[in-house]
Amino acid sequence: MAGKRSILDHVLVPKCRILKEDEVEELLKKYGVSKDSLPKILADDPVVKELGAKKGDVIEFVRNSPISGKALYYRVVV
Amino acid sequence: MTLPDHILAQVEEFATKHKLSATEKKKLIKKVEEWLESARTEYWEAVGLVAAESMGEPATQATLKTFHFAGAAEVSVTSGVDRMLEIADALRKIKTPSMRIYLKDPWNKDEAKAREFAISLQETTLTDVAKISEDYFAKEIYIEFNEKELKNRNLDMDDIIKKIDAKTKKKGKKSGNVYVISWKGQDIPLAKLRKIRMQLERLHLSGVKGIRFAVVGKEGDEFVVNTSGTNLKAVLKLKQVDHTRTYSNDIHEVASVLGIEAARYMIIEELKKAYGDMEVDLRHFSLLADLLTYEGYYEAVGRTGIAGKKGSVFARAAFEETGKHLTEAALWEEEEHLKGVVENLIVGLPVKVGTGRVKLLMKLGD
Repeated sequence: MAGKRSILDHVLVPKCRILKEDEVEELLKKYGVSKDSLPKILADDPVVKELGAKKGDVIEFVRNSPISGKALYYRVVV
Repeated sequence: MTLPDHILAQVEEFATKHKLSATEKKKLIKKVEEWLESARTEYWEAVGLVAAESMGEPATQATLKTFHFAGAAEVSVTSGVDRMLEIADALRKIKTPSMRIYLKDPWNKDEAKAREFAISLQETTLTDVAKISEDYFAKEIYIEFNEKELKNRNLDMDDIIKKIDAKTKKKGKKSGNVYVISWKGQDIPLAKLRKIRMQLERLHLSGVKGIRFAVVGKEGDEFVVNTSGTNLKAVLKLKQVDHTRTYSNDIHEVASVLGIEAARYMIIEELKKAYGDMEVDLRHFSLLADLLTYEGYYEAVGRTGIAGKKGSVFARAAFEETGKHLTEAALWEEEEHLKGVVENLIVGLPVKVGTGRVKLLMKLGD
């Protein structure tokens, strides 16, 4: 098999990254929410494993939306 | 408000096409921004209710037509109301699990190669190519091979016999197309003989586990493989497969292999397919998909899923199992904060959406 296959290359999986600490704070402040009211993602989710995120991390997804072009979505690892 | 990239690109394209000057372009962008702003949903609009109605109404009109076959090279897929229910109820066992497998070069250009790959995918067990019978009195198992099937599936009889021997840890006798395994004169319980026979029936010979049927179809100018039965994880690892586009219509499977965001995307795609030519706005689908995947896993809308998790006692009691919820609420001293729609309807208060949400303060004096 040539090269390693990652699920992050799949078209169904949006571009994602782990937010840095200060970015998380900024995000929560911007929307006036606490971390536990963000949408969730399970710690054993394949994307979380691939990124190497830990519990409590916030992951930013850049969705390709036909409505708004690019849409940002955040999920907290639980 | 700033314009989304794709709308900005359209404006840009329009500007160059009609040779607008810089000031004209600025004016146009401003106008488009205004339009976009006016098209925004109002604050406190009950978007969930609108989505529910927009998706519910066409569903009542939809015929209960379940299957459609578009030509011979198609795998039948549940559609219409049945499929909508499967998606909303997050069923684990869907009626027609299916995959669309995209292939890499050269398999996607050459039909013969694609077909060969499709055949190699189909799961073949011993019962597919042979008839198994037993004689409990003589303590013998007979395996009668079907030579035509063997040829169809590109299998060799001697290879299979090797696999059988490995399973039974015994050497049998081959005569023509019949293979005989004998325990004659040995002390072997009949139950064990029966067990061995069952194991032989399920003996995996070739293909990918879970894929019952695979056919070659065409999408655009490339060949793709449609399957009945799914095994996304195994298929994505095959070297012929384009691992960036291949998908399965089993949303639970997508969630476990590609993650919850991919599952959310699949929910929208599958809803679109289920509704077919009934036009429902994408926004409603994406709202539902966001809700179904909010907890990080794919859950149903019903009483075991989202409706059963509502914070309000009255809202839960109004949905299903009224008695149970009221009794439990009394037992555990639950409080009702009257924040949602249903609970306010029950007690006869204005519902807190739209104008019901707005509070007016009077400015005294000047």
